[in-house]
Amino acid sequence: MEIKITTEGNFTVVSVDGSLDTNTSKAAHDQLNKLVDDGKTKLLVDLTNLDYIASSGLRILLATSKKLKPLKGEMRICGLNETVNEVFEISGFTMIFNVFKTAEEAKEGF
Amino acid sequence: MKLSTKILLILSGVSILSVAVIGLVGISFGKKTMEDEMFNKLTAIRELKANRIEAYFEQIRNQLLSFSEDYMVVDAMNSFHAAFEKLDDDILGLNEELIDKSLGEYYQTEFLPRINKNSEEAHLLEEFYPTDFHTKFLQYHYISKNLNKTGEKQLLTDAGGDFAYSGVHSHYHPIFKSYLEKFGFYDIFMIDLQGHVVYSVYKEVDFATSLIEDVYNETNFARVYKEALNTDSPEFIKMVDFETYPPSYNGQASFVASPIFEGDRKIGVLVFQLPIDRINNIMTDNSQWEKVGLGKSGETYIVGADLLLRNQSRFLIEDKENYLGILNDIGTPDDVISKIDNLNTSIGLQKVETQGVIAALKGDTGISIFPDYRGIHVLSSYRPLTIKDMDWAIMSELDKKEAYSAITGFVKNMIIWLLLLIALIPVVAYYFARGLVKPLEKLTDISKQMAAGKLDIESGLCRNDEIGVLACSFDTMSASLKQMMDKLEVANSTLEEKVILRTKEVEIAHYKTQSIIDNANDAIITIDEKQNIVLFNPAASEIFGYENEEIIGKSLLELLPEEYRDNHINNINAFKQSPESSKQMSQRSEVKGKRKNGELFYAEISISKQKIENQYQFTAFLKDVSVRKKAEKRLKSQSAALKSAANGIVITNINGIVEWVNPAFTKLTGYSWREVVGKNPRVLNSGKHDKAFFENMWKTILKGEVWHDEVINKKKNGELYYEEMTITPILNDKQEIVQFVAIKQDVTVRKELEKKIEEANLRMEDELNVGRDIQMSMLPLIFPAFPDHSEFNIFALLESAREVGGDFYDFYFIDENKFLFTVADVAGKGVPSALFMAVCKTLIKSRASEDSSPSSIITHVNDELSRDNPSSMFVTLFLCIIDLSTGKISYTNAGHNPPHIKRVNGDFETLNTLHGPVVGAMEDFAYGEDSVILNVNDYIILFTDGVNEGMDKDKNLYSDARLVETLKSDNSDNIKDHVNTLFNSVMEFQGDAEQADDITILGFEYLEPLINKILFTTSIILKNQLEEIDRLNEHFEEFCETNQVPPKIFMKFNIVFDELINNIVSYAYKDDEEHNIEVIINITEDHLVVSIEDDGIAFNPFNLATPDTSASIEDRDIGGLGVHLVRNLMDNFSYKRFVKKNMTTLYKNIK
Repeated sequence: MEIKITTEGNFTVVSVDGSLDTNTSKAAHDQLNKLVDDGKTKLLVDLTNLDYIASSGLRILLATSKKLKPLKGEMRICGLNETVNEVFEISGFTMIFNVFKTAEEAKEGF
Repeated sequence: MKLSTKILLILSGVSILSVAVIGLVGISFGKKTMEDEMFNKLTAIRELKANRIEAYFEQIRNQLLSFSEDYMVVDAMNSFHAAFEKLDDDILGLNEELIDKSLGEYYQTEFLPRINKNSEEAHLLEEFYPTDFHTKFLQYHYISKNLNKTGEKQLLTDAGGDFAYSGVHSHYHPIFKSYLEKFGFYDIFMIDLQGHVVYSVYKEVDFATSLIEDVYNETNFARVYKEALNTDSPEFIKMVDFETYPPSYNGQASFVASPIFEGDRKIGVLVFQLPIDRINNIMTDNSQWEKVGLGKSGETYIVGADLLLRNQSRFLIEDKENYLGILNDIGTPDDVISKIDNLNTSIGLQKVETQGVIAALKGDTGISIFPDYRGIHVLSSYRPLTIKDMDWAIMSELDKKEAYSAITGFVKNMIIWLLLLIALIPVVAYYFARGLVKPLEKLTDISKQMAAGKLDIESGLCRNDEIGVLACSFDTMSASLKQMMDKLEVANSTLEEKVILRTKEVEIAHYKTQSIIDNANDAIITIDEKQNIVLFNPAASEIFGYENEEIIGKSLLELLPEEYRDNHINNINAFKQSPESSKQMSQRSEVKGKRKNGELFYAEISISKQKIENQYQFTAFLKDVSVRKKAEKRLKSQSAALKSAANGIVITNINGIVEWVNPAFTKLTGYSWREVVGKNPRVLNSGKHDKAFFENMWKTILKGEVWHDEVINKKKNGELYYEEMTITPILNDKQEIVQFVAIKQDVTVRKELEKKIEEANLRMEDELNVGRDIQMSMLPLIFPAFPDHSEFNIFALLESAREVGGDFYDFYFIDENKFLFTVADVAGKGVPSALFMAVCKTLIKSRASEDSSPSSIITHVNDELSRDNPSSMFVTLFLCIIDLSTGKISYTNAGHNPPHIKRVNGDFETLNTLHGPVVGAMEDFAYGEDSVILNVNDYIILFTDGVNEGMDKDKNLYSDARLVETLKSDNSDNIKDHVNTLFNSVMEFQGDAEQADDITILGFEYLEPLINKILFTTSIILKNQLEEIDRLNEHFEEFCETNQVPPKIFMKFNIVFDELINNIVSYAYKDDEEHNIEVIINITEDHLVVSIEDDGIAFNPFNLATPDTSASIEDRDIGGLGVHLVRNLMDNFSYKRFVKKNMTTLYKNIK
């Protein structure tokens, strides 16, 4: 798993490569926490290069989202491949997250 | 009333009524159908004509449009116009008189006679004769100077002369003429912008006139020209309806006009004159009405907005005289009639103002019956014609009289047949009733004979129908009765023998008693009121020692001990006063008497009083008890025994030891006197009765009461027999039991008879239960049904109700992977519903062998059962076909109770969809189907309404709610127990209430997916560390890639591994030791199957409840999501616990 962080205007793009599972989620969670702690409250999580996501990966997305709520922050997610999208559908995450097809669509109006 | 008469009357009545009803309905239906048929025919003809007319006009418009755009026409227009203009020069200096002479003669001799022939009043030359010299000039050259006959003036092409028009005419005329001939127009005109008719093919008297200034400027020709003149559109076309047109000798003429444009410039107008003949020919079929199906009075015609005919009336053509007569009768104005008569045409003359015409002109299409223009009722089919600029109605009609002649014939025929049938019915019914009743009469006769005692009669009517069966039963019954009577006769003769024997024995007993009485030492003594003895019998002499003579006349007191004397006198006096006539002295107790020798003795005395001549006498009967007492015991017992001598008699002492038996006993048991006396009667014990039986007997008889019961005993030869035994205790004077007398009666014969009757009853009940036997014989009853198949377990049970029935269930493989199971409930009971069930079951099975769709199977079975179902039976059905490799159940519900599914984690589902009505009720119904996935250890329960409609004593229903509650709370762990739990619950609910309907329950539990042949396999052993998941993923991906499993599939396993291995590593071990986790990966033909084995604590992840995936972020709990993902990403999964080992297996379809 690899995470690239770039800033574009008033929001931060977090691109996750590889997989989000038991063994990688801890590191990803730390990085996301750090971003929020540093005052980055507008996050675009780009999963275009993510192969698959397990429940531990879902857990950190949920935790980050919960953490942003009192800060009036916002998290958008984009670029789900077929497998990741299926996991999102099964777990009901497509309904509770702002999910966009592509990064371009997600950036619009962010 | 006799049965045959009743049948005859009912059959005749019902048949005649049905024939009459069917006949009358047939007549009315037939009439309607024939009438409809007539109307349909008229409408068809109408449409044919209408289409032809419409097409004709459409064609004309198209021709006109294309012709007006033709360059040749444009050139011709320009040329004719220019030539016409030049006429100014051509006529300069010509002699007008010469021309007037020729032209005037033509008008006088040709034109006027022709037009007058078609007119009411004679026309004058001045009305039509042209005034303009240009007109005269051209008419002179092309009409009067033209040598061709009137009506053939078009044959002149070159008029000669050196005027320009002649050249232009010679050039273009052949072309226009040819065009006209080709398309059959009446005439073609070109008119210039000033209104001059510069060209006409036929050159009637409108030729070369001005449509704006001259005499014809009011005609429909002029009107249509002016409209075309005023348009700016080259596409413009205008048509005018037929009107009387003088240049065509007052014939009917219609025109269609379109402007001629050269580029954007309008240069003239092109007009076609339309012939009325074409329309007439189409409408009158060249007088071939009968050939086109219009019979003798049918016709088609067109009526214009002026309500006038546009074609010839058929009746005018066929029978003019009659037609005119009718017109006269209905009040048509004379001038119209004479016009029609003179002109020999109805076109534009005959007014048609009928109901249909008015409706059609309003735009309505329809059929109706009304009087036509002749006032005669016709069947009419009408509609408006859709021709632009024309407001026309087309009518297709046939005289009602003709139309109805066929109908009347049909009705006549029907009535004749109806009457014939009605006459025939009683005859047929008579023979039928006779055939039906004859065997019954014979049977009645036989039964009368039987009643009179004649039993060996055979009816000879044994056949297959109901009466035949009844006759058979009669035969069987008479045979059985005969047998039974024979047996009774045998039994009867035995009884008589017994009576004779008994009578004899009673006589002997009587003599013996008599002799005892004779030998008794009773004394009889009579005294008078003064106590003096008046009678003293020899026995008394013997007892007391007094001779008769010495005691007679003495006082009785002599015979009494001194101490009793006072008491005696008191007693006698008291007795005298008492109302009793006799008295036993000191009853049961002994009194004493005194002998002559002074000896006292015990005596038993009874006295009686007689009043003779106001004097009382007393007679005493006295027994010397001392003597009697000696014999008493023996006498008592002997007398009882003798009284019962017909039966076997045993006398025992109080301890039960046999003292005496009679010969009947020996005969009954085979034991002789010698063999039993002094012994206990238990030698007869058969061992068939328990200890309590004998204890009860002893208890009864030791109380001094009589005991009576039926006993099975054993004869000396070992044979068992039934006897009725009565044991009477014998009491002595002090009420002590001294002996027991047992009287035995053999009832074996009676018992056997009873047993036979009972057997016969049972047999009869069996026959009544044939229906149930058929039902049960068709069910698979052996469980486990498929012990070789570990993929599933099925269990079913069916509890028949006493009467109602027809449930069934069935299950079998239809191919290697697919397994069918079904539950059904046939309406009705007994043999018919059992047979219907058998048919239904067989149809399903045979169809399923080639069809794996439940809806298709049921649709087929329904069609088969509905097609020929005279008894209107039906069945409700729930049919499932499960694919054992995936757990997918396809199902169809045909009017049946919805089954329930219970998932391994406790989730509960009901398959509520109904896919169609009950099977057997409605042919051609297409049933639907649905599907549902059974995961491993899920089970489905199918049942019939005997379950939810089970009733207790108070008629409360078991109910769906109770059923669901029972299934939900059932914690047993196999399908047989699930089914039994439900069944027992229903039974318990019913209690003692009688079961109203069959109860059927079928349970199916899915245990594991069917694995086909394993093609590739690998395995890997992991340590219980989270990092090992990556190693597993690598190994797994390599194996998958080698064997061409698509990444989309194995990526799902990556997620599943992450969840499951994480669970195991994190929660399965309660120690800190190192453990192995083995992962086995198999690829079969269609599945990827992965098993994970660990030695952690027992834990079935799939028992976890489904998490709520619809909660918002705040309320969202992440727990349980991992297993939820596994469930949904995999096609199926299973969990098994072995000794100290968990095995979780995952199945994914790779096809």
